[in-house]
Amino acid sequence: MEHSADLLVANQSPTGFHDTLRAFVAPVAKATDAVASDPVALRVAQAVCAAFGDSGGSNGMTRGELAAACSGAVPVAAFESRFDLFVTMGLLRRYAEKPHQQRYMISPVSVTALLVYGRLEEANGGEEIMLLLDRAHRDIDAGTMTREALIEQITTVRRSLSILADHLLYLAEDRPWEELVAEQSRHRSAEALLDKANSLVGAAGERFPELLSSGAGRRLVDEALRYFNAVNAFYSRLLAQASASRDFSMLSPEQYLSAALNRSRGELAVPLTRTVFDPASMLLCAERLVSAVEKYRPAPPRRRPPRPPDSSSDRDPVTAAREREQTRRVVMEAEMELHLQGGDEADLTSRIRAAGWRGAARIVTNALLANADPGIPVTVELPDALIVDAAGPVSHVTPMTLRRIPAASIRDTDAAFAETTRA
Amino acid sequence: MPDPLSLARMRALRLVAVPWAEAELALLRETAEAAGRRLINVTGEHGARALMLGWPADIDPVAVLGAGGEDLPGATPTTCLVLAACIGCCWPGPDAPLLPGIPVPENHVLDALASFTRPGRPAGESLRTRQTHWKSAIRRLRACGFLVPGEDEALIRLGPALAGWGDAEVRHLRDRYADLPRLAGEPA
Repeated sequence: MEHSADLLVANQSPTGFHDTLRAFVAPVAKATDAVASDPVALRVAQAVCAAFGDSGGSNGMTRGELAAACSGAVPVAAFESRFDLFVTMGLLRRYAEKPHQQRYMISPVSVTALLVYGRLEEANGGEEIMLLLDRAHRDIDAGTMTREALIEQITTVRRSLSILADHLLYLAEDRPWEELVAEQSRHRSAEALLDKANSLVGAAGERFPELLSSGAGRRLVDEALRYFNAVNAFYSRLLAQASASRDFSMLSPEQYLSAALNRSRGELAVPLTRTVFDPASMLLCAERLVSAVEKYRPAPPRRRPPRPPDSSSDRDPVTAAREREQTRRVVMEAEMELHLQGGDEADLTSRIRAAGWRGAARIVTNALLANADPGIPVTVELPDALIVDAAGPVSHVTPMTLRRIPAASIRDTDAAFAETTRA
Repeated sequence: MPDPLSLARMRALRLVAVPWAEAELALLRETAEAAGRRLINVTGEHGARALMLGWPADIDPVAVLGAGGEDLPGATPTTCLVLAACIGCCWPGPDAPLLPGIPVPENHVLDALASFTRPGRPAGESLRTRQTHWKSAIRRLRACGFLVPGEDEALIRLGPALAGWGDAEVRHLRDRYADLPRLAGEPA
């Protein structure tokens, strides 16, 4: 539904408007079928009026011109069926009373009637009463209203108000809610009408003071007040029903907008005071919390790499490396001596097996390094045997024997090496 | 016989007082079970006890409600992070129970979040903007019961909805207790 749609405007059905027209025409009707039941009839008249308004001139229009102008609004057949009736009843009259005159003019009276019909669709007596009150007030101010005419106007308005108030009370008390909904848009000006009635009586009292003593003015105000109360009773029932059924369409979008802009939060909450809501909830588990923490966790602080060693020393790095190598060799030789315990041969197998993997690796590595170093007078013998001890600290061990190389052998080896070099 | 009105009252109020009469408590329990829920004991401040409706321990509400992943209503990463910070600040220690926790000033939590959030956020997102988002998340967490909507809005208190978390979830959180956002110098 469009936002601009006014939900309070009664969507009067064609049948309902036909009933309104029948009631409107009833005072001068000759027969019960005086009003055409087909709503197209009124639309044809409106189309003819529009054609004259848009395209007509002081010379009138021909039937053909009229039919062409109306073809966009009503079917051609409908136009043809109504044309002769319009001519006969005077809505259209010949431009000149000649036998072959083909041009037609529209009657201003019929134009006025169409305006009245239009008003009948939208409003009823309330608006007309407002016009009467305005006109009477204006005539009093202008000094053109006689006392008798004023009394007649006031009496007419009072009687009309009485009838409308009775009608509203009848609807409010005895009729189905749907009838109230259809009628609701027609009585919005009750407060303004009461003000105008008060204002008219005040102006009339100044112009004709004796009117106040006659009671005519008071009766008019009483009747306006009764009409005002009847309108309130009518809307009370309408809104009570709407409230009970939570029919929020009873208010127009403009009224909602006005309420949203001008009312407090507490006032806006009133229609929902008897409504129970589930409290707000959110599915949230610890896992998602931890995920969010990991996502937003700040990065760990960056550590600076260690500074490079100070190279400003005067010490020669090559000499230092040689000294370190010499120290390592002395340590290794001492370790081999420790294994040999002053003897010429030592079986390292049991020590390797007892030292655990880490210790075994160290013993074996150092022995092999000593074996490879010509400056250390030891040799290592590794047979092909393999000792497996699944429960021991070292499960797989190759037996290892460490032997001291006699000094003479070293000299022989060195001499052979020198010979080879010279050759 | 199940009492739908009691169930509706519990749904609407979130927390109800523990009935004195054992029969009434049994009826509540039966009503909750008939609706596929269970009663959860919630311990508030000063040891006050109340009851809340929750899901049975063997049911995953996410699976039941058909929501998953990022589609969970309202559980944005910011909301999750803010709740993590609230828990980090209000939970006195991993050996203590999660509830009721200790109340802490809201500024405390906001400062913890400010120091926790990783650098490199968009330049246009000032601390004030982030604080606006965090405060909005706090309001949402209060509305949803994860924090107590107390009279003193400047204090953060852990709310009854956390009682709906099962042992496994609390254990998961306890394992990551040290990682939760909190101010430096607080127990971790």
